[in-house]
Amino acid sequence: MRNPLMSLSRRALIALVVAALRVGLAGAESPNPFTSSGGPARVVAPAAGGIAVLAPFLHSLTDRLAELAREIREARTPGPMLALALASLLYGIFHALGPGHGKTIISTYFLAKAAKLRHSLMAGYLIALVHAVSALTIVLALFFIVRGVFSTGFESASRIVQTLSFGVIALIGATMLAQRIRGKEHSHGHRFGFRKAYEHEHEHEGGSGEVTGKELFGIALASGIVPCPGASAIILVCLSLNVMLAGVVAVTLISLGMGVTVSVIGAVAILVKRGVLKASGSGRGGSSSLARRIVEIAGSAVLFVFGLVFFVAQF
Amino acid sequence: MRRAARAPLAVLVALVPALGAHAHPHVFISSRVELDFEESSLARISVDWTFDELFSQMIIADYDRGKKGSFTDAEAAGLKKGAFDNLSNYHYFLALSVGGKAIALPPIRDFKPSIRDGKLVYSFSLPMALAVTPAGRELRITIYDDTYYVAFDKMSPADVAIASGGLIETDVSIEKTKVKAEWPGQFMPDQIVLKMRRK
Repeated sequence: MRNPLMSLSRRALIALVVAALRVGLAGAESPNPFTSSGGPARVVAPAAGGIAVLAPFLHSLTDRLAELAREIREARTPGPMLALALASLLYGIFHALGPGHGKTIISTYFLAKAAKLRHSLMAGYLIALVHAVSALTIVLALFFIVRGVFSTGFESASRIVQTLSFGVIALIGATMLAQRIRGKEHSHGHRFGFRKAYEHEHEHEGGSGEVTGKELFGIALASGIVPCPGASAIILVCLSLNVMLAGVVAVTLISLGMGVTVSVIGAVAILVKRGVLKASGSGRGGSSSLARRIVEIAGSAVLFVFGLVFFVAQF
Repeated sequence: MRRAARAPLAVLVALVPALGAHAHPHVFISSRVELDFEESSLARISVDWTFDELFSQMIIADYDRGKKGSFTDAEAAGLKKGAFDNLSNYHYFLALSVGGKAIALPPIRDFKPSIRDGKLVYSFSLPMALAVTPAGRELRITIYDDTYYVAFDKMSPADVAIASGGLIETDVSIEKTKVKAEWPGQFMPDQIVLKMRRK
């Protein structure tokens, strides 16, 4: 019998999905070579070619954010503020396509759990909220309390927060991996036939198999808490120009943009998992739950290893 | 291996290279390079980096006390320590090769930060002692951050200035070169290719 996985369209689909997830599965924030102390992060890969194409656009957008902050200081009319809001939203969306910003965590979490699409929306919103609060808190604390050289202070603070974040992720991943391996959900495959097994599996999938609000918030906290250098720079610039409202608007919209991208990537992960499970033989009871177990165990394992590797690499 | 297991495993294994501190530009730099010849020898490579406005504003806010629009010597010294010297861990984003062979980076000299049209500019030079013969020599300069935290703008031959005093014939072109070819999806920075020949 012809293996459906070998068909051209299937292969093309898998290639497309892998490409999409590659955007999703990115790693940590690299340190700023100018203002940090020490060398490159120990686990580094050059950017995918795609990002290079966006560079001129990102350069203009980055310039524009700073220009707008100055315009707002000069003339307090609504125009520049609206433009800043739009530029910030775009900046957040495009920057979240790069590494960090919680996408790996969200993607692997959704692979490891039975998630619904609305969970990816929630995840995006929560990460945006956590990120905005974190960036503002860190920048304000550095500016008003620590008062040293901001650029170097930020790198140190960022490094500390990132280390903590990876530690928490490793712990969450380890817990999820242990649960997956112990196998909290059971498959009733042959006894009830396909449809009943599917429904029945869902009924029993409470507890460790499902996404809970508390767990999702924990994941969002661990990943959103690392402040984006760009968001922090714009808050700092607005602070030094004394246009604080602009800073708050900018960081809120940047965080929202990040939330949008994270939601989309999360949704892709959920859909990929569904597609992959279907492609590996749904309707054959035992096989589909084996495929599910593999995806979920692998998802938790990747989350755990990712957190651990990056945690250790910080020292 | 059971068919059911193949698809998810294939997808997950294929994703492993995607993990890592992939870099993503937060700082953007526009480069200008000047090549200074003395007699028939390349004596110095001068590098000029103009930063994007956001990084510029942040560094200027940190080091230009009183927002004068310029740095005092003391401020420049502080800036060098806090926002330049660490580049020694990144080979100052420069790679040089002569005749196809990589050469060691000379010590960085004459670092000077300045502010031009509101943007932060770093200027510094590399002392060289490269004799140019009638047979000709080829020098390649690649400017790149392989962590890609910093993205360098696309270069054109107009970004390269030659001060040769008429003794040297030069040809400047920009090529794309591969960096870290063993990784999938590597980016390809610009490389200045300078062909020099003593007249």
